[in-house]
Amino acid sequence: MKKSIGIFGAFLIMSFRLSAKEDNKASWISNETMETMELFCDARWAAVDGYYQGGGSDGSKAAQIFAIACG
Amino acid sequence: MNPINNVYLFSTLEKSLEQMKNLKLFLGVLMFCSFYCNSQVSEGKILYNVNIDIFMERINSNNSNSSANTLFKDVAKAIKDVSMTLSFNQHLSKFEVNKTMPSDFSEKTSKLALIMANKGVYYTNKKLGKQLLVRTFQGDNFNVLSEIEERNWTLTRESKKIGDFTCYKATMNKETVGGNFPITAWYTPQIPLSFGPNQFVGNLPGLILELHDTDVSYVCSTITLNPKENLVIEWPEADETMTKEEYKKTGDKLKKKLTKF
Repeated sequence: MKKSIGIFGAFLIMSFRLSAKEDNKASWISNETMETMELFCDARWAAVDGYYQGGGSDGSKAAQIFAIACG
Repeated sequence: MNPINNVYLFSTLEKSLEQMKNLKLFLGVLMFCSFYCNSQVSEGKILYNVNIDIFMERINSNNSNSSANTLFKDVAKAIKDVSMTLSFNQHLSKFEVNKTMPSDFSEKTSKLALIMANKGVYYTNKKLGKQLLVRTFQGDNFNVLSEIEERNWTLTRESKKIGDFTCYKATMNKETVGGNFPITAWYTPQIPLSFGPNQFVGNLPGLILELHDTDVSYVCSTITLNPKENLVIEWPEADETMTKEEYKKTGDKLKKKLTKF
């Protein structure tokens, strides 16, 4: 049970990280630094979208694709 | 008691006994067949090649974002270097990716190919009617324990040969975020053990040698039955497990978060 809570926590942390990246969007617009541009690489969203359109149904696969699509 | 009733009673009893004899004979033949078939294959290993050809057809026909097309086009090439192994005996099976990274591709493409092909290691215990998915994500191990799921396969008479085995086509549909997609399995009753890739176990009257899931296809390339060296498949002693529902909830929350942007 503890492990389950821990895992759930890990997901939440990842979600918060993603939120943080969303917040960075503003700074990307203002600073236009390469670093933040990489964080907001459109390919991430396109890849996740493409995955579902192609027939994918696994949320964890989508999350992993999102995580490394711009790497 | 009326003698006419007695005659009727005896004749009915006789008929019932005859029916029971026939039923016993039928059950006997069935048990013999089942025992005979099972005694022929007690354990084995199937090597599957992986492709995302059907997935790519959909992406191309949907005119999806071109950056996604390019990305998955590379993944489609790289995933052909990935293979999966299903090891099985009478009651247990293990489905896992082979530890080979696709070569001649960028690290990102190779990683994506492995992610697409591989959900984690699936263990099945038919005696317990359970499946255990051991998955690593962001450095954490998820041990997802579930009952073997009932699936509404439609069995067809369509058949084809895969190696020396006659396989029959079974189909079902799956509702996903992107729509309703078909899943096709080719199973062989010549190996009457209901195992297959990932969570596709326990429902069909034979081993699945080819599976076209909604995103990935697994196509048998090598079949090794009753190998000289005994196969060892151990049900892992996972200290802590989570249910499929708990696992799905965490995945769904993350998915919602992702699609909110």
